[in-house]
Amino acid sequence: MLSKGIVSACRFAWRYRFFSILFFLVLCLTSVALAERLVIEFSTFIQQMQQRYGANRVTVARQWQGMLQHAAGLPEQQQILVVNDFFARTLRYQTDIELWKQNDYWATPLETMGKGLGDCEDYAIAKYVSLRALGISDDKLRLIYVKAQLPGTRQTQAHMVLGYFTQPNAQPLILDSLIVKVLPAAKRTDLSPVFSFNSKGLWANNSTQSVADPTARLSRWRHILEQTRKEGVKW
Amino acid sequence: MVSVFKVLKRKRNKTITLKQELWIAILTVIIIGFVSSLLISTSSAKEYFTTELRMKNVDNANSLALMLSQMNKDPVEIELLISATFDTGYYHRIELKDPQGDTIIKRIYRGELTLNAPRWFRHLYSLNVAPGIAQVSDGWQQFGTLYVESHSEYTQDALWQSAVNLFYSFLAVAVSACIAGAYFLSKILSPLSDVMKQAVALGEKRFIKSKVPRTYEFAKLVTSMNQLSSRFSRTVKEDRRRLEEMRFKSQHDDLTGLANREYFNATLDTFLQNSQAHGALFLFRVINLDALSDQVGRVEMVSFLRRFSESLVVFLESNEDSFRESQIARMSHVDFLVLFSDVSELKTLSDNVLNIHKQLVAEFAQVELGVSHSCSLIKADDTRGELLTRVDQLLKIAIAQPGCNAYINDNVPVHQEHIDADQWRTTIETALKENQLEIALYPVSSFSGSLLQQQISLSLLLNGEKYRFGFYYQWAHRLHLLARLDWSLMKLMILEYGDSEDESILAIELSADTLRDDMAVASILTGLSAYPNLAKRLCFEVRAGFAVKEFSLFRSFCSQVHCIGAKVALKRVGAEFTKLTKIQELGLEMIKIDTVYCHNISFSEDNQTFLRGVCSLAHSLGIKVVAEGVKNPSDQAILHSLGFDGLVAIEERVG
Repeated sequence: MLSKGIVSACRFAWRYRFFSILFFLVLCLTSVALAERLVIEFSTFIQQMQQRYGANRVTVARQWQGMLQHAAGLPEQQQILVVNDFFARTLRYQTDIELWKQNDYWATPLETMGKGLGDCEDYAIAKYVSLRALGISDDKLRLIYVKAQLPGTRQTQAHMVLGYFTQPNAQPLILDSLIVKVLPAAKRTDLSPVFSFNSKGLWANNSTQSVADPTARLSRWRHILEQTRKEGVKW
Repeated sequence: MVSVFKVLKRKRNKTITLKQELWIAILTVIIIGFVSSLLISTSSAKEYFTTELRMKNVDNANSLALMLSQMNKDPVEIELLISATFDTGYYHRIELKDPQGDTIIKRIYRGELTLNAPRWFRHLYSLNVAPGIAQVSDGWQQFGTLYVESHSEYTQDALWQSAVNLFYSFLAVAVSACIAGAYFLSKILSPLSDVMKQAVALGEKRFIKSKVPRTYEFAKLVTSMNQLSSRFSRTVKEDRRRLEEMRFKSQHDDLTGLANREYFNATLDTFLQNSQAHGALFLFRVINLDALSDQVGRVEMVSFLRRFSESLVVFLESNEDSFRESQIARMSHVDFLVLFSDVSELKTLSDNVLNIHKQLVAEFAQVELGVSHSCSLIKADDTRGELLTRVDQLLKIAIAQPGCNAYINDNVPVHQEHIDADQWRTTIETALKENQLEIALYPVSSFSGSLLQQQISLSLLLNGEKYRFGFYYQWAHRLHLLARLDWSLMKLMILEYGDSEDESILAIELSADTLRDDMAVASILTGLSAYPNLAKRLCFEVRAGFAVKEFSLFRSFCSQVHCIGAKVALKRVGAEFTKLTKIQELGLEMIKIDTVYCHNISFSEDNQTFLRGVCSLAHSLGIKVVAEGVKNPSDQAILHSLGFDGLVAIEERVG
């Protein structure tokens, strides 16, 4: 009798404590996840989209935000497919010379989605940012310079793709702008890799809050990273 | 503990000059400029070096990684390539890690470097350069991550070197800035000392003018002060003119301009009060003056009288060497008196003046004019009445015969005086030699009873008797011993008051002998400058007669005295006061009006008017006015109402 009384008395307190512990765990997990993943301030991103490309392009930004929120709960393999699919649907391929009147221009995700157009490295950059925002580690992602053989010819072309490594020493999955499918590297006999990079070591002293470094503009890749920071991507 | 507190307090109270303040400001600016430019330059150099090193790291890492990615992944080949890069370049570390994070190859510099930069500098300006990181791939696969770090010690050395260079060049700039600052400061402040001198002079009641400098603010200041000074000098000039007119009217005969009976009586009284009075009195009478007026005309009579009084003045001036004080007066319509001090030989004087008068009378031959005179030596115990009666009696004998006659009474034996003189000399010199001296104090107090100053004089002690200053002054003066007495008094005073903490003012008279001797004045003032507290309390007194006669000497004496912080007062001020031009430039502390003017003041309306004017003029310049030797309470009350500040305690009158 006595023990039953105590249990009933304690029940309320236990439930209360249970919720508070759960809340704490969720907080810890999210903060760990947050530490891994790239944070994107969508309010800034959408506001800039509105300013530069008009209200109708804001829809694309909202779709992107929705896609990222939707994919957040999925396993990595599926996230890759969702992101690849999203950009294959949203963007159309166009060369830099037509789009930007420049020989080789690296556009930020905002510019790419704002125009709805882009070429190989614009696709790769947008996908890289999206996957990093979903929490995929930098170790597993590489932007890869490849030599692409055009189908049906012996002509080659400089091209860029995004590689996803399930294991650091495994063969990567290739996210390409030329084809919609995500295929393992071994199946892509038309591509031969030259050099790969990611954003590792770019931030001096692990300080992502460093003030705008004047040398950033000298490097194309650093320049993109700086630009995206202004557009709401918190590297 | 208390003394430390005192010192601190004094330091806090110590004023700072404008020049010092400007220097502090300049030095502060220069030091801030120096330190901040050094720090800013060094840290911006550090910033620059860091960026350059980082760029070098990143670039080299990427090009090496690119090369490795293209290569065969033969371990020996990779090791050779990395070693070659490391050995021929300036690297601190080149490391290749596989994707799991295990080191494949690592090269790190272990040599000892000889560095110039001191440890504290390296600690303060440690270059924190991030390594260059690049990915090496093997086909599609990851091969590893490459870390490249360059040497930063050399850079730190270069940074140190540049800091040292900057230090010296900024130091040179700072020093030249100081030199330029000193130059401009002296140029800017050069008028300041003049301005300050003038301001101090105004504070000391000396209303001088000075040259207007070029700097706007200073020019404004000096112009205003000059205006003040000139306004004062104008006022003073006008007041003085008015006073002189008034004084002259009150004391002189309208017709001849000689002193009148009232004034002469006061002078004679003062003269006779002196126990050692010594001199002669001449009485002249013009006979048949009215006949001249009746027979020829009043105009002729007036011109005769003027000629006659001129002759008396000429008579005085021609014998100027033989006396110190003199006075001519018209006592009545036909009677004239001449007072000499110090003379003892009457015959020659009498003959001289008789000759002059004979010639004068001869010019007015149409009337039987005559000028007779009598004269008598003054005895020490004479009163005014006795003396006047005596000369009158003598004159009666002289005019018993017609024409110009003279009757002399030199009954005081001449040799007696010499004996006195020798005695006095021995007495005074003995007292000085044996140091038988004592200070006598005469308080000068205001009408409300507060002490204005203490007048100091020297008493001689001999054979148990005390000889006051008034008693021996005449003889000391005649024997030229006053300078020595002044010096002894000064020594005695320093001995007695040198270390005193008291702050009442001490007034001390300096004789004309001392003042004329540059060396004596210099030694007195230098002696005093060792006792700044005493010097601040001192007020040197100079007789007004001397101040007028030797004005430039007196003026320079005033400025010297002001330099050591002491004050100057005038003593025995009377008729001379109106002759003191530029009194506004002297910075006087006090004037002491002579007894002649204050004596029986209640009976003389004219003197009252004159003294009221003197008081208001003196007060407008910040000078105090006190009266000497007034005993009568009703006189004292009137002096108070005239604006006098106080009275000198009665002392024995001196010549």
